[in-house]
Amino acid sequence: MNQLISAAITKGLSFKIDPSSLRWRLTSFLGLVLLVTFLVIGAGVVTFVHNTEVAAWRGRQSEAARNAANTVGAFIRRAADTLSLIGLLGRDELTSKPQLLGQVLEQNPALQEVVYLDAQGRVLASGSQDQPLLANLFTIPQSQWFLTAKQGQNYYGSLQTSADDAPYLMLALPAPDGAVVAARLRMTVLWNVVSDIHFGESGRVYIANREGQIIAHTDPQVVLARTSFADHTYLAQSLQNTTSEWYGEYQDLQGNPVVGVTAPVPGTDWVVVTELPQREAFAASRSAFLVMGGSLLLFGLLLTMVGGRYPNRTIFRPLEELRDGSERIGEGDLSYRIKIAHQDEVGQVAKAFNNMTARLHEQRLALEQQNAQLEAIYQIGLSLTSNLEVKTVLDLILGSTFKFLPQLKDAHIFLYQERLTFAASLWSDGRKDYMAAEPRAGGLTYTVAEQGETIVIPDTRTHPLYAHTTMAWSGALAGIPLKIGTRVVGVMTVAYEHPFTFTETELRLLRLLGDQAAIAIENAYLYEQVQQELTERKQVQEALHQLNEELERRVAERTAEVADVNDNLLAEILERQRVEAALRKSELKYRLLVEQMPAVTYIAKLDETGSSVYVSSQIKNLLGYSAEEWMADPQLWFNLVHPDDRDSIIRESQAALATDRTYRAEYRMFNREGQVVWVQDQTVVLPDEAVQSGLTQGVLFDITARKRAEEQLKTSLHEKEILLKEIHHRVKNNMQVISSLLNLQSNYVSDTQALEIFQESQNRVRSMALIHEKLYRSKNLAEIDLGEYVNDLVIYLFRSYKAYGKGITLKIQADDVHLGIDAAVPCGLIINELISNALKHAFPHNYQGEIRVELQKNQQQISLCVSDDGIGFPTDLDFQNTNSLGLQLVNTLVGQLDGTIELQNGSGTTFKINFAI
Amino acid sequence: MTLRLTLLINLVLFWLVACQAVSPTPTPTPPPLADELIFYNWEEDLPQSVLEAFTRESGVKVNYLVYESQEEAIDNMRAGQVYDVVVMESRFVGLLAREKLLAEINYQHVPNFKNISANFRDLAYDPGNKYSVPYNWGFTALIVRSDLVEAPVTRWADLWDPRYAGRVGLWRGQPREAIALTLKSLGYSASSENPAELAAALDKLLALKPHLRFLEDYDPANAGPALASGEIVIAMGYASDVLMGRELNPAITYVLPQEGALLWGDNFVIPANSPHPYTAELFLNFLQRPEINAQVANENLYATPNEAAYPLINPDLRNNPLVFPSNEDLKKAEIILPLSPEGQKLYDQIWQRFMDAAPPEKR
Repeated sequence: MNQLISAAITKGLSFKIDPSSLRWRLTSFLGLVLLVTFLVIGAGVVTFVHNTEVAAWRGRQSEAARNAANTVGAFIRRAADTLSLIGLLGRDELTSKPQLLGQVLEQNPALQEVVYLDAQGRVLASGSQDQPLLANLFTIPQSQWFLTAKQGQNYYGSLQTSADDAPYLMLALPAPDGAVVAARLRMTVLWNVVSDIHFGESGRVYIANREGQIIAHTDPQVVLARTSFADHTYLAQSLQNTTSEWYGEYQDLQGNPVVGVTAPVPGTDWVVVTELPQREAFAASRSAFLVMGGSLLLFGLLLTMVGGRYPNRTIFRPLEELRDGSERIGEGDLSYRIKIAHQDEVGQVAKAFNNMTARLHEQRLALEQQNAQLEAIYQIGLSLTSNLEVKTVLDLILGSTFKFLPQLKDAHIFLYQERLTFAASLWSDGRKDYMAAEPRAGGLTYTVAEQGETIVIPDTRTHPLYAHTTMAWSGALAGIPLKIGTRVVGVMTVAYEHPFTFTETELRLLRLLGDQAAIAIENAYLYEQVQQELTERKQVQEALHQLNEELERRVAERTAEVADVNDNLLAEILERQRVEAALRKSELKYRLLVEQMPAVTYIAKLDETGSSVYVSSQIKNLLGYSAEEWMADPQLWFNLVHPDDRDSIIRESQAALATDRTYRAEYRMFNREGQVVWVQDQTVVLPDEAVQSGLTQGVLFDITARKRAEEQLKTSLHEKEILLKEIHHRVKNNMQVISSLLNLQSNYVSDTQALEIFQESQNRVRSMALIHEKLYRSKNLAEIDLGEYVNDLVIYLFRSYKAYGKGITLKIQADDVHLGIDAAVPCGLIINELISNALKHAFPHNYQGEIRVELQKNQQQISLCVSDDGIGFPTDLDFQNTNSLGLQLVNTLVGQLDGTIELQNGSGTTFKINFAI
Repeated sequence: MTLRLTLLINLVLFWLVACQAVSPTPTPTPPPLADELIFYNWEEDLPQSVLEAFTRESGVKVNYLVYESQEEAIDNMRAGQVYDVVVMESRFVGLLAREKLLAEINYQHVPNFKNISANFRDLAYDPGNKYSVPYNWGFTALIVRSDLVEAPVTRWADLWDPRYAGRVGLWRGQPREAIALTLKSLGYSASSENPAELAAALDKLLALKPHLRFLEDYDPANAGPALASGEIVIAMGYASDVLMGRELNPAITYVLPQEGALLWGDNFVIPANSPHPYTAELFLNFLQRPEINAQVANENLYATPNEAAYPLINPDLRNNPLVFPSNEDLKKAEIILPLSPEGQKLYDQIWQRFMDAAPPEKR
């Protein structure tokens, strides 16, 4: 079977599907009919089985659901009845007999806890089989179960699960006097009820409330997971139906296809759902479906295999042969004939087809012959155009004639120009150019030539042209005139050895060949004429050619001469261009040099106006006037020079240029905005051998920035000088104040030694103040004239020590020595000390004498000599190591000056101090 | 050719039969988790550490938005603001559910609901807990600076004692409770809708206004600082206020008024427009784990309805009668019940009149 199918598949799939084919359409139609038939039958059977089965499971499941609903209903009713009874017992009975509720619970194991409440929700009596729960609630007045029952309705609560997974259900019923009886219902009892209900092999039952929440299920985990089918579109419909049963086919919560029936639980708002897997419910329809499908498949296969052969043999195979035959004929095989197996419609078609083919074959042969003739003529035509030799063409024509009329004995061609001339012939035995006989006057050939008409003689024996001849043979002849227009140029004759009737086709062919021959002959004549003309023309051309050559030679000679002259000219032009380019380059170089320089370059006339001949473009940057403006106005330079500078420049430049031929000046000009621009102008008179005499060439630099800086420096310096002067002045003043203070204070000193110290200090301060005074009076504030200073100082000291009155004279001899403050102060103090010493100690007891101060400068060496001709320095005293403050000071100060000191003790005392500046 | 066609048809038939026989039954895959949940609650209420723990475990970030009153939260929900989980007082749940602003909770995703005490299941404000999972509960009572009052405070009516004028505290964010305690002080039901009783309550509230300071002006989350500083000596308040306030000043005490304290409960709800109800349900389930729930209670100091968490709660807190009162105290307390729409309108008017009245004098 399998092999059969696979073979069938292979075969089936090996067909090429052509949706437009007759076979396909026929097959499709038959297949469709077959399919519809199968489907109708199949559907009918399956539907019948299915309906029967649906009726069966619905009945079965409805019963199961009803039973379950009744069982559950009875369970709930029992519990409710118990609660109603408790309610009827009333408040007094229950509160007076607290053990009563316990007894009730023992009777009814489904009740876990019972409470009896008043209208305010207060617990009046309670009993419990475990830990009391309801009795301890403080939210009872808010509880839905209490409020529902208080309003007179029974309350069947949803499932509750405690923290330890113990499920319970709240039940609350109204009782007389607004009281409420409530209970916790043990769920496990209800679950056992549900799991005890069985139907089918794997049918299951569960209970749900109106919200779709499952409260009892054969699998407790489903309940504990708080499963709800409120979102299950199909099952949720059953919740709408509160009074009657509902059934349907759907996927359950796990997605398995099931059939389900629901039934309301009487006395509650719960529904019982029974579900059976569809696999089980529809087991019979499924097997019916499979069996039907299988058998239809088999039947279909058989039908195909058996029934498919007949149409194949009777219709499709002959049709295919017909098609193959057509294709072969189409390909050109006209000899093919279709085998005719049956005399049915297809056989008749085949027969008609064969007849048609036979006729086609005949026509084809005729056509081929015609084609060959046309081909030959075409070939002759070709050779006519490519071959001008008349004999060759005529032989070709004769050859072709034999090809088409192979039975010919001979064929001749004659030329005709008033008389006939033999041109060519061909014989059946292959001989060529053999003439049968000279044409006779009045014979066939001449008649044809003269009349210009074709003459056909089927049988020489009966034809009038041969009536009077003694020709022994009897045959057939045809004469064809070879004509160009109406002019006869020749005759072609053909002969048969036996009588023969020329067909129209043969005659037409002969005439065609004759026409070709006529053209060939005519061509030959024309060619001859043309050749002759050509020869003449060639001779004329030769003469012309020679004349031409002579002329050309002469022209060439002249041309060569002209070319030489041209070459020389060209060389000259190139040289000139090169020189010009070099000049331009050089000029460009210098112009760039001049115009890139950060200064204005100019050439001006050597007269008073100084008007410019050339000025470089930088003038625009310098003064804001363009070079063109500058050169257009000869007065411009003069006008722009600052009026204060104008006269001096003109005067000085004229003078300088006349003598030194060069001039340099710095002066002010105004730019276009009227601002002052400082320029440095450097001019030189151009040598006379330059382009033009009487010209100067110069450069203008912008030195405004430099000038500004200079002025600032000057100002700054001046300010500093004033400052310095002021400082020296103040220092001097301060020292003078100190000196005055010392003087004032000395008025309060009575001790002579102390007084002396005061005076010495005063002198020292004074000597320093004098330096500062000299400084601020000096020219450069940095140095003092030492000679002048010493003079002033010594005069002061003499006055201070009242030396003049004592007959001591002073002699000062000083070179022009200038010292800075650093050297002047120690130097002044040294002189102060030494002279003070001399005045104090050298001339005791009205001793008279002279004090000399000598100051000599020898290059950088200063030599200071303070001497007296007094009593002389005490010999036991080392002047470099004494207690005298004055001498200590002298030594220290000499050290400060990096100098040396020596003492010459002869007549009087001489101190000689040398130091460098 | 016919053979092939027939064959094909039969193959198709076979295939159909085969499909019928073994149709696959895919188990439903849980929807993907959201990246972020928007959680809308009182300020400083749910501890940040708990939210972080949830993020660590699930990868879902919790964006904690705060409101200052339930009314503000409801207004925002009505305006279409998107939240995933909102903390809502019990009495508003029914109202929001009727307005279709809440999503039904799929308890298949919240199995830890079993830890909730029977006291908080299936209550009238949300039968079957269709829309809400209880979060915490407690009393609205009096907080008193025992050292600063001139006589022991025992009743709601003591709020009107002129000796405390200017030092009386009230939460502006709790209009319903303020009206309820006024009704209680007059001896009426806390949820009265009797117009005469309500008119009396309004008069009484208006009389209180000049004596009042609003507690939000001190600390939007906690009345402790206001009492600790002595600027307020008597106020309506909660056990958590006292517990936090005592750390600042031990003289702060809690008084359950003789007229009966007000019992309140907070719940988690999932708004109907939440784009991530599945993630929100996982979050609620996470919060009902005993150890997590105990962590919440230990930090925010409110009583939890989660019985399984009780053994894990800090014993000091667990045994504190302020937080977990005795059954006797509980039975005396009155639950604030949902109002009818007409009743709600009356309450709204009363509150408006009260708020429009002259502000408390500045001292």
